[in-house]
Amino acid sequence: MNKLKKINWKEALFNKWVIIVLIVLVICFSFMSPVFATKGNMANLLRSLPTLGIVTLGLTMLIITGGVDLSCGAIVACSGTVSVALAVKGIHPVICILAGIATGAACGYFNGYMITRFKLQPFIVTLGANYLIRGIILVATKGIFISGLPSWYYKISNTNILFNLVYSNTVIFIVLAVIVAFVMKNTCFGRYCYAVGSNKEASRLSGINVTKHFRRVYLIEGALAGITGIIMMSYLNVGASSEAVGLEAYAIAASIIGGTQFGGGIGTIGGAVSGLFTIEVFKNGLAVIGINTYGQHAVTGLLILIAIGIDYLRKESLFKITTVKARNKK
Amino acid sequence: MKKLIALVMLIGMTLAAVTGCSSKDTKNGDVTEANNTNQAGTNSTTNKKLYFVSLNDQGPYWMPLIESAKKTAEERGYNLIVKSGVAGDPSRPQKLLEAIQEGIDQNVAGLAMAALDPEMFDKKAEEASAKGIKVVTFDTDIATSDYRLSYIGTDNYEAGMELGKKSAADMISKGITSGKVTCITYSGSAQNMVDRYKGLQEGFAEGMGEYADNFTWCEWIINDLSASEAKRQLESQIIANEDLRAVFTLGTESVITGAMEAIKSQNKQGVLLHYGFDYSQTFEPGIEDELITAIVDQNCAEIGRTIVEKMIDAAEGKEIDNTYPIAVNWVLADEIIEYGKMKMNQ
Repeated sequence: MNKLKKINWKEALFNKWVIIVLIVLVICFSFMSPVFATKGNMANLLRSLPTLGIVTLGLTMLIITGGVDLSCGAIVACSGTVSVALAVKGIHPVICILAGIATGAACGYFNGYMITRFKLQPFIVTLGANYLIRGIILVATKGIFISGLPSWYYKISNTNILFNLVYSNTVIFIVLAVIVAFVMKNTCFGRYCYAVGSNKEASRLSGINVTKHFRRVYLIEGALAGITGIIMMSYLNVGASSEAVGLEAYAIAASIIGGTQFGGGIGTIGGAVSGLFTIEVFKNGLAVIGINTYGQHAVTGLLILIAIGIDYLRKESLFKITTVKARNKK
Repeated sequence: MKKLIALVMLIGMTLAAVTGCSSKDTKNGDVTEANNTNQAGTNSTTNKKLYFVSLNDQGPYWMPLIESAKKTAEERGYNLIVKSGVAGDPSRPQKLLEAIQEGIDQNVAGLAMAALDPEMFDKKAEEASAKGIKVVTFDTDIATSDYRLSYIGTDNYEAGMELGKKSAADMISKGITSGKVTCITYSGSAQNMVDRYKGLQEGFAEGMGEYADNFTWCEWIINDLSASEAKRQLESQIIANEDLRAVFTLGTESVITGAMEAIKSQNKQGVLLHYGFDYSQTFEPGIEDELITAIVDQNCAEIGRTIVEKMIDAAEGKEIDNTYPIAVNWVLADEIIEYGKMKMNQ
């Protein structure tokens, strides 16, 4: 009872508002549509989640470090297409998968290198990289889908693991989420991400090789995008070089909704996953209740704006609470 | 200084890689040009020059259409300049208008255009006609028919009606006389899609006859060229509507792929019927798994041939008709592979 009294409920509410919104959404959609909370729909939700999910993991790590990647969607499409192109030629599965991941990592490293070597803004470098990478892959494929995937490739994302509810791509996402969360919380690498994101100069003076670390983060983010590309193409059963347009926007939104600060230094993987679930549940719910495509876009955009607004108010409120506490201590 | 040199070299290498990888006459996101010379192998003079402005130059519809057009121009001794946009390029309307302007500025003998939007291309057609250029339209007509001599091709509304009627007859023959139906397209604003969808709904109602009132149309799905979006949306509609009996896909690979994968993931093969528009090799892997039921297909080679024939006839002073409608073909799933082979050999 004493412990309950000690909890600042207002603060707790502010900190966990995303989870509260998620619960409210689930309850609302369950009332609005009898099929929302069914096994079939939940299975669809869980199966469509990993593509955005894995990209969100990488982008969250990057944003915490003080970077951003607007070429994420292009890297996903490029990596996936490279992997598929090799698979249809009968290349060994391990090589196809490694090639996809390596392509993503190389693209990510290219971004990191350009940003650090020439001291350019991540926003503009990755924006240019987005057009470059997308353009290259569309030219190479002429925008035509690559079909005839071998059955092993299809199974990467579409193998039933648990009662036709959880499939292999969801398991891959869960494993990666646990790994990335662990790394960010319990390793030097993770600590460096927060340090560099909070204050680059202080980190450099503390002995962290900021340039190397930045490039590593971009490389890992690119590799995660590469994995996403493989999973996406497996999920669709084609190599589609025109896919994943705008994926980074949703990933950034999920990350920000989950509490990651755009300036860097603040955020958690757990929060980003909450933000991801909020967006995906919302999109799924709108589709199930029959809102048309354009309406879904508009309402999802509104949700993101509201989420960012609430996050801003939350930070303002916490700042005031912190300032008052500091004054009281004095 | 070293940094600047390195940056310039990097940019140069990247550009070289991109242009080296691209085919001779294709650049992504840009209007493409293919120059067709006459039989003598030299460029023709201006009065034997024709401009062909198409929405796209890729895919199983556009490629045979353009090939056929080029071949016909060559046979008749004309120089056909092909200018194409890229699907999904937000600046495509502007680039197509610029291509048309180019043809006008060069005072070509004939100008064939596919109007992305009827109103948008009206003014350009008027300007071209005023200069004495013989203007014909295809795929989608312009708003004012006075500004062009002829429309050649499939009437999108009629083609949609044909799809609706034939699919309705097919469903009745299978004992399906009630339920829900839905449609997926890549754009809700492109005029050809709007016309097809309207024709589809009216043709379906007409074909269903007494059973028409037993069917409800779900909100049509617009996937913005994303296969995963088409899949996600259709999966949600399948879950939300247990009595969903048919899905219509109106062109593009992303729509077809998304639809077929959704049917597969929801285990609705053979239960949820899929009727497509325009042949694509993308259908072929789905035939055995009952992911596609039938399609209507435009005879694109015939369209390409007729466009250039009539444009040249007009340029040579002959009378041409106001429209040259090209019928669509109804193709059942088990005939799609053979049909595709025949199409590619045209």
